[in-house]
Amino acid sequence: MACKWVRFAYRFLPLPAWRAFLLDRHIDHCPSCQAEALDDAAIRFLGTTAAALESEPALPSFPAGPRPSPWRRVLRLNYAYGLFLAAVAVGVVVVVSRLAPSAHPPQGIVTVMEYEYDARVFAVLEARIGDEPARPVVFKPGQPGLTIVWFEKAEKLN
Amino acid sequence: MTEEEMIRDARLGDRTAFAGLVSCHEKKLLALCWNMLGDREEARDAAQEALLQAFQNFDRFDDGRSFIKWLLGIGAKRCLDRLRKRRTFLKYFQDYGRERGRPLEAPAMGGPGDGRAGRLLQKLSPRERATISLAVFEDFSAREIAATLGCSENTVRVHLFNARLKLKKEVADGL
Repeated sequence: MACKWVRFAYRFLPLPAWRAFLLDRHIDHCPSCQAEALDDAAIRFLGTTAAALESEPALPSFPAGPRPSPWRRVLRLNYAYGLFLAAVAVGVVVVVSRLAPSAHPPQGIVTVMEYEYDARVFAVLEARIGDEPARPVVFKPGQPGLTIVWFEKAEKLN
Repeated sequence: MTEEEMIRDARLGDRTAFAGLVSCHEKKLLALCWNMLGDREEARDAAQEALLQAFQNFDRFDDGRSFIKWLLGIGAKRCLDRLRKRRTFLKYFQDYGRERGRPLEAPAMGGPGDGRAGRLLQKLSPRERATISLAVFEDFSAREIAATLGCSENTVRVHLFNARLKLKKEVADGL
């Protein structure tokens, strides 16, 4: 019974390496299991060997051309490989285009109204970056006489 | 000229050295193909293909390995390809015959031994046949067979054991 279970487990169950090793040992040393399997000497009678084929005519020499260079083999693409490369290339282009800063930033338009009584005072009437509304951001770094005004897209500020 | 010298020269593209190398081992390759395919002419074709493939890929041969085992590994893979194609081919013709009401019988593949004994190996699945041919006739270890066939050592052991059980049963049935 144990041998039958061992043979069943060995043939049909996925086994971890250590258990397969134990079953190997069992099968190699168990007379009952060995009796169920044909031994090497008997199997050799079923096939042929090089010695038995001595009288067989030699294989014809093949018209081998020059051996292809390793580079040529590396560059030989099949369809699957080509499609894979194309997909990777498209992916790289998409990722890079999203991450890299645009070479041509969108045009910005700022309309201001200057007050006649004081040229240093102005009011921002409208600001747009590309097609989107923008808001002025005022930054005073604490240095006397220095105020930095820049514009950002409105959605960025929310 | 020793085998190492022939390998070195063949690696440099010397066809004579490669031919010398092959002539030492081609009978072993032919025997393996014959055991696996069970047909003399097909075995010769497969062996020829394996030699051509070995010549074209000789720069991939690792000096640390045995040349004959590398060559036999290529031969075994060529035979497995042929067995796969043969199965597809036979299935197509059997389906065709069935549609016409005259099912076709698979041609009986004779083995290299005497009539019936030679056919017993052909009762095994292609993988079992490859495993038993490499292990019993060519003394490959389970690890070498696993590397050649691209499977685990456990799988190789199971194929071997299954093949031995099947062959024992076939032999017993024939007695």
